[in-house]
Amino acid sequence: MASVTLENVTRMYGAVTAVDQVNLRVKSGEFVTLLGPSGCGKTTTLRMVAGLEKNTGGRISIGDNVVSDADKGYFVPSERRRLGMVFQSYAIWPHMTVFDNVAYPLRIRRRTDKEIQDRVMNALRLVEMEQYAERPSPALSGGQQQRVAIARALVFEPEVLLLDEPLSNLDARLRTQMGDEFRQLQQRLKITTLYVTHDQSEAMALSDRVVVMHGGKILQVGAPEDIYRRPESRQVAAFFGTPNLLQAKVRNCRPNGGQYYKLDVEGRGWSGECHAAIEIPAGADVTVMVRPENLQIGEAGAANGGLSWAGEISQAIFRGPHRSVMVKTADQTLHIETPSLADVGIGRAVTVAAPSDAAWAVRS
Amino acid sequence: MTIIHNRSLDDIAETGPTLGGNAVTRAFSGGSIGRLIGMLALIAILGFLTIYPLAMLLYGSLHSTPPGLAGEFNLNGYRAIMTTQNFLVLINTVGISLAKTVPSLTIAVFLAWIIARTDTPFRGTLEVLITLPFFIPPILTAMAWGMLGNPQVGVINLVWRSISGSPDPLVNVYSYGGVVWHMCQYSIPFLFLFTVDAFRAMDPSLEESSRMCGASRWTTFRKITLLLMLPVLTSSFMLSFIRGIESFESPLFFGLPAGIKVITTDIYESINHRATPDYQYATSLSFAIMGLMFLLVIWQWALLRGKSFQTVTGKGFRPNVMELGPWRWVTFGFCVLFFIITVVLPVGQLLLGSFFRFFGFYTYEMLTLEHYRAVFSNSEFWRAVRNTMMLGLLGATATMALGAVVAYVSVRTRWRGRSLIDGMAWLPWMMPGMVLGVGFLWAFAMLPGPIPIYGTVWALLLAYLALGTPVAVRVMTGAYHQLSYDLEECSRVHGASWFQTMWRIMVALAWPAFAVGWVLTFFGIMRELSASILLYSVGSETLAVVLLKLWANGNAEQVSVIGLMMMLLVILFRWVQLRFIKARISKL
Amino acid sequence: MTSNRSMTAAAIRQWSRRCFLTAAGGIAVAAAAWQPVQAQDAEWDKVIGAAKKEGTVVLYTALVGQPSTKKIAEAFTEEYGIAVEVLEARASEIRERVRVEQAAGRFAADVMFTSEGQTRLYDAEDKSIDPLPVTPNSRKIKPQFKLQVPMASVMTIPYGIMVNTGLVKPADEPKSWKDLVDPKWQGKILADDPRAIGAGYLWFFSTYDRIGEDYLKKVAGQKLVFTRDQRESQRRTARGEYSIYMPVILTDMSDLKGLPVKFIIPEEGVGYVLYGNVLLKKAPHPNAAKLYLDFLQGPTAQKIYASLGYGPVIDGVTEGLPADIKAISEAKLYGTSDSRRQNEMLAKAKEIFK
Repeated sequence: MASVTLENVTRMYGAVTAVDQVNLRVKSGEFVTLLGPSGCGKTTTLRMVAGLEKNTGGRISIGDNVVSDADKGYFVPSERRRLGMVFQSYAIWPHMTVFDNVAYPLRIRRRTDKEIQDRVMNALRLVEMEQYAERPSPALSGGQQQRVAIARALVFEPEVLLLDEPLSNLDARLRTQMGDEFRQLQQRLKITTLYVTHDQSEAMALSDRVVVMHGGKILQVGAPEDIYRRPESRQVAAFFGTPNLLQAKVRNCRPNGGQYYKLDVEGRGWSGECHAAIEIPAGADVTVMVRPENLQIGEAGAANGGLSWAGEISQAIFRGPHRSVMVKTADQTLHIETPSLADVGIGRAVTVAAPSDAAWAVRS
Repeated sequence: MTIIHNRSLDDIAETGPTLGGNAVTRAFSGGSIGRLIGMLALIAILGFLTIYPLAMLLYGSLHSTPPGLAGEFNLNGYRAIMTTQNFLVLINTVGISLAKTVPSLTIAVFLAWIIARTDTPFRGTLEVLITLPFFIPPILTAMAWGMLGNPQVGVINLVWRSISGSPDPLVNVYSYGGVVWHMCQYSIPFLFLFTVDAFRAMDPSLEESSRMCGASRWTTFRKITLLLMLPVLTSSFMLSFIRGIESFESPLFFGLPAGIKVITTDIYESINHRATPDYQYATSLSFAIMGLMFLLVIWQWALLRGKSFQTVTGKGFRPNVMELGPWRWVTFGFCVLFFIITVVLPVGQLLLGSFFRFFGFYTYEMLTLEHYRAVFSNSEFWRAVRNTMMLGLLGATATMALGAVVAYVSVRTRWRGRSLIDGMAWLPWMMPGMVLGVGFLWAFAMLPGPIPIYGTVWALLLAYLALGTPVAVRVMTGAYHQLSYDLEECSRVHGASWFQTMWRIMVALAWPAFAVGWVLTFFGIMRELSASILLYSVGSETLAVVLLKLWANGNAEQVSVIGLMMMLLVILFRWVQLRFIKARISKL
Repeated sequence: MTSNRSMTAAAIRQWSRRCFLTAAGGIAVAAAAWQPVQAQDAEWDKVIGAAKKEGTVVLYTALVGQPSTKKIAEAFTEEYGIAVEVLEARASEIRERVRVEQAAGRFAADVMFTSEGQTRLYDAEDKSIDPLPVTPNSRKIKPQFKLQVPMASVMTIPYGIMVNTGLVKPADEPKSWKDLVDPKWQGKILADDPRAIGAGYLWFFSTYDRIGEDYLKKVAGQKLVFTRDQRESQRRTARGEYSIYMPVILTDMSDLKGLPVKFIIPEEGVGYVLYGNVLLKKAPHPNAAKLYLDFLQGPTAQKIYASLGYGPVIDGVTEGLPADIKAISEAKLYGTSDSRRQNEMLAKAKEIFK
């Protein structure tokens, strides 16, 4: 397995910069997801690694080999990069059977029939599709096509596996199932994987590390939990779910003994403790992020450390596993997720509280 | 994913110093130098096949004498064509061509939809049968229709008179209607062949989503189905319309007795019916027409620019045929009616006539197998069959290969100059056959002595290659427009070179179109006379030359025996081809 | 428009010129005949010897699809052991091929079989043909076929009138070209198009000169229906679409045996086209070419043509033929066209037959 290194990789379309000075190193055997809204440059980045697009600036290496260096005019075409790729549309060739589709990379490399037979069947077994080998490929369901696409990408043991939103065409349940299966497979094979998606939960569930991109730039790279709980910017914070973002001023900042800092902040009509990644001087404006699932609704007046707000319930929506509750405070409306069992009365006066380690401040 | 559709593989094509492979693979797998060489090679090939003969003709149009004779450059040819009469004839010609192209396209699209997208019974058989008239030499169907529809003793009119008691004939094929009708006989099957695979390769979900948005079946057909087929439809419209302008047999046979004049008869006369053949006039007129035709090409470019017509995506789709319920018998009836009128009536005449001493005299004493005996024992015929089969197999394959490459470059890359080769590939279609034949004669004969082309079969082969390229490119262009890029990119990522991808994915996916184009080209070669007769050499007669000889000697019955055998060959080809497609592609 | 009388005068001038040319040709032949006969024979034997060494003669013919071509080629090969390679194409095609081949320095053909009118073009415009050699048989042809242009005359194709016997009673049959103006034929005549070079134009040309413009105007009033395909038009008439087809190639009679049609030789005589061979410049097989030219004017080839109904250019080859063939072959020659007046006459035809 090989690592993938991107150094100052840039892609321009005329005057438009689609990917801007991206630096990234994917370690051998690592699963890295490029995450971002559509148009953020994630697919272009993946296609540049694949050799389907040419970077107009910077250098891309796979393992120890440079595959593209814009300054030196050096470019290795796709077919010599030893990659496996799963396309968003699967790109299953409709004129071939399942077996032929999977065997294609091997046939191109002129392997013996025996080897092709063995490896294709192995690959199909891996994705549990061996009984469909002789099916004409268009006669498959979406999930089956996706498995075939994965088998094809894996069959010749590529250096790196690239996936371009492979689950986006599946229904929600199948998406989760296929995602989990794929993660297991990846961990078993220890294959370096670069994965593109716009779905945050998919990114969370699958990746070793997530790369959040926006406007052609990388906003943050980190483990899923880091990114989710400790975003470096308001943009990253806003990208995951629908967090409550509150304006506040820093009153006091001190190290909390670990790698973070503890802040006392004050907003309009509320105050309390939260954490931040960097030292922020007193008096600075910050945005405090509190995720809806970390907020608790209590009786009016009850407060115990951390942060708390007084308000009244303005709206409640039953969502099955949980209930979305809106609480109107003096400053703004807070979004809270509570277990769906508890009943809430609209118009009731309540106190909303969050523990200080669930509140995260970034400079605004 | 829309952003990906508008880009293509060539963006990545840039060579590195350590690239392996041979020079040819490199030329296509990347590199601005390799790309340049590939492009120049294409331009050189097309230039020799199309620009060079046309340049000779252009010389002819600007010079007082044809190449090889002393004379001076002048514009007399162009001056001479600027007459009111020619303008009226042009209007007439365009009118006739439109009158045949529009209904032909409508009927062809309807037939293609029935065959490809509905559950009409026996549509597999019908698909082979309704295309048959295209493959019969026009002179034979003209003769057959003359026998069926002449106002005096035409079978249709005799039947009509005995049924209705009316003294007036029902139809008269020697009229505008007859000219248009006879042209339709050729353009409907041609257009059908052209469009049917495009219908077949359409993802039904594209149409279904339109219906889900509240569009009626008819609106969906107009706004989605037809628009997605725009490249195919505009291409076929242009091919058919231009061919209509250049059509010669139908106006001569049916139009002349009714006093109908078209541009081609004028060109023909200026070559054949003046004291000295006036090549300057003929070529000037041809170039003027060609200039007008090219406006159509530009219109098509403008129409298709920047749009995506990809209907074959990497996501498989089911062969969703529309269930028509009892209506399927109506569509079936329509196909059968079409088959009876355009195939059974004329071909039946030919088949019946071939067993009698003379067409139209069906009495017991006249019954004979003499025509079959005469054809089968004609050694010249067999020699011509051998020559033509060889030229046809070789020519059709080479033409389609060239067409596939040109279409690929013009549709799926953004190489500089791709419009140039696309335009070059149109040129031979826009020059009337009889003039283009002279162009090839001049071009090949005037090559420097040591280049051994003139007087050999290579001259014929090259001429066929040039003549077939427009159709080949159009067929493949339509098919390539439909394929999504990821099918191709996926192959490249998984280790296939440009050539491997081209062959295993692009040609294989476009195979139905490739096969149809091949058959069209093959039979185009079998029928081609204008260039053949000017380029064949002693001993290398082609079938068309032999047919001309037989016809000129009054052996119409033997000509139809050969015509019928050509038709059998078509049935065989189409059957094999459709079975092969069924086995692989129609599962789309 | 020229008056009738002056047209007649022009016609007479035309014909007297023709007689003069014939006479001049006769003198030339007589001059050639001065040489001792033996010397000529020895000379000719050399030609035959050289021709046999050449082994092949390449013939381009503008008369497409005629079975006579093959028959005669076989007879020639049998006589001299020299192969005949034949390339057939229509007149304008074959002419352009020869012209371009010669312009490009590719001398492929030896002999071309073509019409008198085309020969004039080859000679005057393209300069692609050599003067005729004097061969033993060339001296024996009838004087009227000894031409000013370098073409060795071979045969005439006769044009007459064809009627459908189901539609035309024997008593009503036209006997003369002039009978075509009878009002009873209005709308019933299918005609080869006189406005384009071909049989119809030949009829137009010869009757214009011999009968006059008024006659043609009257025919134009008959509402003729024009076609350009001889064979298909014959069939259409046979099937009863029209009563009369004219002018028809009379030699096609034998191909249509069994159909309800009758071929009529008009009493004035038949329109005709004179065909013959020309010798191409820088012929690759010049001796074989000379021998072929001579052979076509000899009794073997002439008999073959006569037996098919074509008019021979020597006497005494129609003996023993069936009566109907003999009649056609011996039919009086009424008139032909002159390529020098082609554009003028085509314009006239277009004016009269709008």
